[in-house]
Amino acid sequence: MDSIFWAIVIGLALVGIFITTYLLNKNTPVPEGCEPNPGCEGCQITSCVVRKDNKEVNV
Amino acid sequence: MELFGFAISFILVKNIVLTQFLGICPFLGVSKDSKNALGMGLAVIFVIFMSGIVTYGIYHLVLIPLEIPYMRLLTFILVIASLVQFVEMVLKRFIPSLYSALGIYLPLITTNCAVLGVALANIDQGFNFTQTLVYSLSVPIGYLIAIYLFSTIRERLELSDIPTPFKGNSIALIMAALMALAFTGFAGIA
Repeated sequence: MDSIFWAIVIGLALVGIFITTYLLNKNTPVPEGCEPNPGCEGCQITSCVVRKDNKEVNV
Repeated sequence: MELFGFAISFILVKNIVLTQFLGICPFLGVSKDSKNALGMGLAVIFVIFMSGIVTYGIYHLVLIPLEIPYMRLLTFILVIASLVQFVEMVLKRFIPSLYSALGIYLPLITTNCAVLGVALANIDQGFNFTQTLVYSLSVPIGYLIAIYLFSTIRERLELSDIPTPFKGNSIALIMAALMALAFTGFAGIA
């Protein structure tokens, strides 16, 4: 029973850490002189969030 | 000397891309230009090394004492995703030149299965901490060598007269197979 409790606690803690780091990263301004990412055209996965076409649509 | 042989083995003989077929997507996707391939390779070295150490520590200091080793897959995925976000944030804030150099390739590493593969292999193969350090460094160095060599070959292929059905990923996969065969030639030295 303890093991399940700790598994849930660890799982929730890790999800919390990921959300925190994601938000911190998102709110950190891109340094001056660094061009915004032009978007990736490396592979054929059209649903990828960093794909160039999707970035243009989002903007 | 034993660790040196161990490192050479994972850099050349048991190269993670050419023998274990991990990280194939960025290997094919980001190898059209040698400069981009170099950036991707450097970013992979940084993230695999950091995530290898962190996941090894979490497994032995948290999951094993709490008797929840079955949580390792979920834990490692979330740790790698968080680590990539954290590294990107630190680079933005303190080392903008490196952030600029790595560019788009840093967030892409989250989906590189070689990173998770190394973290899991550290546990599955029962490595001690020193072996984990060497393994987590030698595997991505092998990745960098493979992707950089492959990108230089692809740049030359762009200028070659290739039959239409073989253009693009077809000839790239054939070249990858030939590279994998060539790398097996290193088996005698490690």
